[in-house]
Amino acid sequence: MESLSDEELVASYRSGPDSTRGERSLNQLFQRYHSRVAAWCYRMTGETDLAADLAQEIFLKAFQRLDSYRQDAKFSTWLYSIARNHCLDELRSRAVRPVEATDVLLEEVADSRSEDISVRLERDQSEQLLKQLMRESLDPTETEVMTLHYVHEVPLDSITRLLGLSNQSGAKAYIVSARRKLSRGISRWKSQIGR
Amino acid sequence: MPSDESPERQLFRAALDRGRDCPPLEQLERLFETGENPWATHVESCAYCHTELTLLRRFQSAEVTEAEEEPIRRIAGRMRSPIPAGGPWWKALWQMPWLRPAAVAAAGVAALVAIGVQWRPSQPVLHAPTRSDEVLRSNRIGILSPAGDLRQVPHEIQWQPAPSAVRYQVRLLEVDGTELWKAESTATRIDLPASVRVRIVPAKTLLCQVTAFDGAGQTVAESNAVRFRLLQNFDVP
Repeated sequence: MESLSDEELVASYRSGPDSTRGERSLNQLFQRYHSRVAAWCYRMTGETDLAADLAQEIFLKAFQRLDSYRQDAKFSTWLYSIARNHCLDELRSRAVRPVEATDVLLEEVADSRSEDISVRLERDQSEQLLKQLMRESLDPTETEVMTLHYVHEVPLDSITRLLGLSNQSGAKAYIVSARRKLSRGISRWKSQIGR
Repeated sequence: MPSDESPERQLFRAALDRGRDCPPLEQLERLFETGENPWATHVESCAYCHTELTLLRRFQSAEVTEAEEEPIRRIAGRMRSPIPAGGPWWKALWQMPWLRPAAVAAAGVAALVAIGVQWRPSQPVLHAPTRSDEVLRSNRIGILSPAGDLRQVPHEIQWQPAPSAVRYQVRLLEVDGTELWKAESTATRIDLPASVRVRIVPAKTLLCQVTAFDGAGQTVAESNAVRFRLLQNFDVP
């Protein structure tokens, strides 16, 4: 069993779901990945009790949906997508108004000279310009933090754990520095086009 | 997209979100595996895909920091391999941590019932009612809210009416039985005053109990002590 690949274990399970061999295949997959799922859930939530519940639910969901696993991705990637979505859903369901709470936090720490970036950009070109400025100005970690925060609405402390950020203020510092860089980029762009 | 987002947030989200040309996760996975992939150029310039790939790498990596070791070990230690997908439905109850206590309780009740059936007297025995028996189980009041895990601090308590009741006494208790608040109502609801609502804090389990009285002041029905709890990170007044 130990020598089989993940995908072979899934195939072994499918060939006899109710057999002892099928059960051993699932147990082997569980042994291989339960620590990684536990780590993921802990980083997402920061709470051991909640993380344990989520991790257990993720395996239950995955094993109940094994029929939908098509083997066009590795089993680990498929399991990751379940873990990722399950935890993001949980975070969203637990956050009453995460957007406002974080905005207040960021307002407190943001550069007081930087005004609302959306105000500084013309509407028709704002998105493309912002994309370009992000590519040119932000380092990879700043990009990841901004994406997790603004797209996936992951709380800052979760982002800090997910990305393994070791600086004192974690993800918050990267948001602040990204906003400053973008603000400076907008100023440069405006001066270049003579506005 | 939430309608009350600030324009800046909407702009950031639009600039960072997944695009129509973003590859599926299995394509990103190959980039993770080999480093050579037709999507490599796209991922370099796409914030969304770049972040997805970073998260996938982080998940795949078994590396943990020293601070994470202990909590992750504890979490992993609490997990159990779920049953095969084709197993009986009742076995799945054991896989859900939040259902496991209920499953244990149900098994215990079933065992007690079995013992009771086995040892019941051959002839039924009638007992004269005592004072404590006056509230019959059929006169239980159902509490409609609050109950269970809550996302917001409740504003009121609601319950089902009891026949012949003219007033109800409502009590909020801590789990050790300490009374937090008591009030009376002639309706089947009562507002929770602000002074009580501030005492309903996240993760603290409280009990709610309603007793119904008739015109003579006799207890005519009573609810169970219904548990409720405000979840973490939710609205606290």
